[in-house]
Amino acid sequence: MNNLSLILAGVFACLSLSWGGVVLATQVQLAGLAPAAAEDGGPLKPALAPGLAVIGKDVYVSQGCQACHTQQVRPAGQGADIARGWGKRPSVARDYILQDRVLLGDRRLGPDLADVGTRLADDAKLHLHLLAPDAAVAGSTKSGFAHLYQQVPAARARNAVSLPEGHALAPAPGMAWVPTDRAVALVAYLRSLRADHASPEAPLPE
Amino acid sequence: MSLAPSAPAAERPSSLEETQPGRVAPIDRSLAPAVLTLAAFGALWAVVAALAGLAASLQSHLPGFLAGEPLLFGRLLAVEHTLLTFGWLTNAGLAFALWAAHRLGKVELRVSWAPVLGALGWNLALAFGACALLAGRGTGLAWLELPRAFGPFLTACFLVVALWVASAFSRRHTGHVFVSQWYILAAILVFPVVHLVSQAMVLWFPAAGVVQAVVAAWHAQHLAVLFLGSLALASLHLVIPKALGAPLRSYYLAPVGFWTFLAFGTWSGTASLVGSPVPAWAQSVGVVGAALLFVPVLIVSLSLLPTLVAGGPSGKGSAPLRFATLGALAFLLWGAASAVLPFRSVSALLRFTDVEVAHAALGLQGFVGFSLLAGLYYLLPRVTGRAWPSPALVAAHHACALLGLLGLVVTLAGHGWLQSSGASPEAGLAWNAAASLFRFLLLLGAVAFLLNLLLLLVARPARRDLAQASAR
Repeated sequence: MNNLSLILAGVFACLSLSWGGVVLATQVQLAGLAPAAAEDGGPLKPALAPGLAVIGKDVYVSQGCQACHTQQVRPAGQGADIARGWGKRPSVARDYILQDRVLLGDRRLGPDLADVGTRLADDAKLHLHLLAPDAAVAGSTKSGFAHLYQQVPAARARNAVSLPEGHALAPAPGMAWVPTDRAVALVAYLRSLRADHASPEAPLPE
Repeated sequence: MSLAPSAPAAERPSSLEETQPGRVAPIDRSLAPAVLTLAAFGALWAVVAALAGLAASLQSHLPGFLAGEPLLFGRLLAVEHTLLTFGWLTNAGLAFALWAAHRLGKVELRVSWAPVLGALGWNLALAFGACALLAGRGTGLAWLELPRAFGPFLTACFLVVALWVASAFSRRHTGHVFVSQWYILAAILVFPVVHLVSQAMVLWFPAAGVVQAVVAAWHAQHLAVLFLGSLALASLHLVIPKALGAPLRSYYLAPVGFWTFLAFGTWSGTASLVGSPVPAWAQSVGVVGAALLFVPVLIVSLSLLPTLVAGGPSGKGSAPLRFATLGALAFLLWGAASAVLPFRSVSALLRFTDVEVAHAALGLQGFVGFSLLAGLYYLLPRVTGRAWPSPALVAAHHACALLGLLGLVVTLAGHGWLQSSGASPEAGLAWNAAASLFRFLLLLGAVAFLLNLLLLLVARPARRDLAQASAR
């Protein structure tokens, strides 16, 4: 163990082997994945996300959503994700191939979002979750994102987010909360997160 | 074959200081600018990281605390993680590596402004990086949080310091290579290679789909275990025998420990992807790697812990040994948890919960942090030629760090267990509040260390008795 070049060569060999064996091998195995139809003539999935959702993903990352939310539904037997209603089928590698950045996440202080677009298929509900989480879910410990909303005179408020009577964030009299562009994009992104289609690797349960 | 006498003479403790005090002082003096720059920035980032961690923790049970931009929960966590790993631990590790490489090789640091420049560049970039994270420019990926433009510059700055470490090896006057030096060599090779390759495959030329997640997991494990972990083990292997004045037990096991640590550690990255939509074989490879990693953990612990026990009371009061003991114990616990957590039945319950956060804290702040603190407590008085100005601050740091980390790991694990039982998030608020309390203790400890370090830097030139005290 007195030969430094030998130590360095050994370390480099260890790194190269695991890089080849894990990283490169996964790349080779998954490189051929493309959008596919679960049955003959069906729609090719996954599909490209709409432009607003692509912008919304940047908002998602910059607001730090991935610190509390994952985007992966584990198979039955690997946790209770499906039983908790976070998705009808487990996530598979094909679901992610069109994503510029894959945000699987590693901590769940909130629910998984891989299929949130199916669960909360309603802009108003999603805006309420973001503006005043405790108004959407009693006892929610989620941070609010009121800075993505602004108050405008109720008369010219479009897409106003209505809060329950007496809520701490209730707008001033004659005013209403409306989403900023960032909130609109973020909600478009969240609605684009759907795993309600069958995949060749993961059929939907009957 | 008896164990203790089999350690080569050069592995014996303190031989240089005892026999040739005149040759050590110039080496330490030449190292002072670079080592002190790295250590001071490290101590500063430790405080900032602890502040960010505390703020995020408070937000988790006090809704509305510092709400709104820029101090969002996710951004604070990214700042905490970046400054903990690349700020505090990397600076401390490089300070130790630079010092150990020159002292063990018995060579002076040449062109000492170059590593200082590298250290300044690294830390300036980190300061900008932390601001970028607070401004919402992070990538959202653990261990790769900083915007991609930072990666090449940070790696270049790292390489400057690493090259000076390597040059100490090539110029060394001793034929023998110490255990610490193996780990240091491994660490300074692992970081630039793994960081650049992973940056390229995730941020610059993103691989398709979940390959990114595999690269990110491979990267995270290499930086945590084979980079920071190697630096920590280098520190333990030097400080424990030197500060005790006793040779390492079971020295003949050291090469086995080193190579199995590398060989198994390098395959264990995908253990963090169990249940994820990546190929099942890749997950299994990670699980096996993580379980096998417990072999070197045991081998190394079987050498370090008996050495500490046999050392007896001689070093009980010394700060380096107290932190080295904590580091060595945390290493064993962390290794055991690392082997168990990825098993599919365990992962099904505890994955994504705060048990994993507790495990990471035990590894990074416990094993790596305490081990590198042992190194810094050992080397800084030698580099400055002065004793630590305030023994009270040392004691406070030790108490806060031990209580804080122990409490944090227990409360996070308790909260994680609660999460795994499907309890409502409200039920966890008390656990989160307790975690904040312990994070506050950790912050106090980091502040105590920074204060003591600043006092050490501005202290008047040492009197003779102080210099002698520091050499002990």
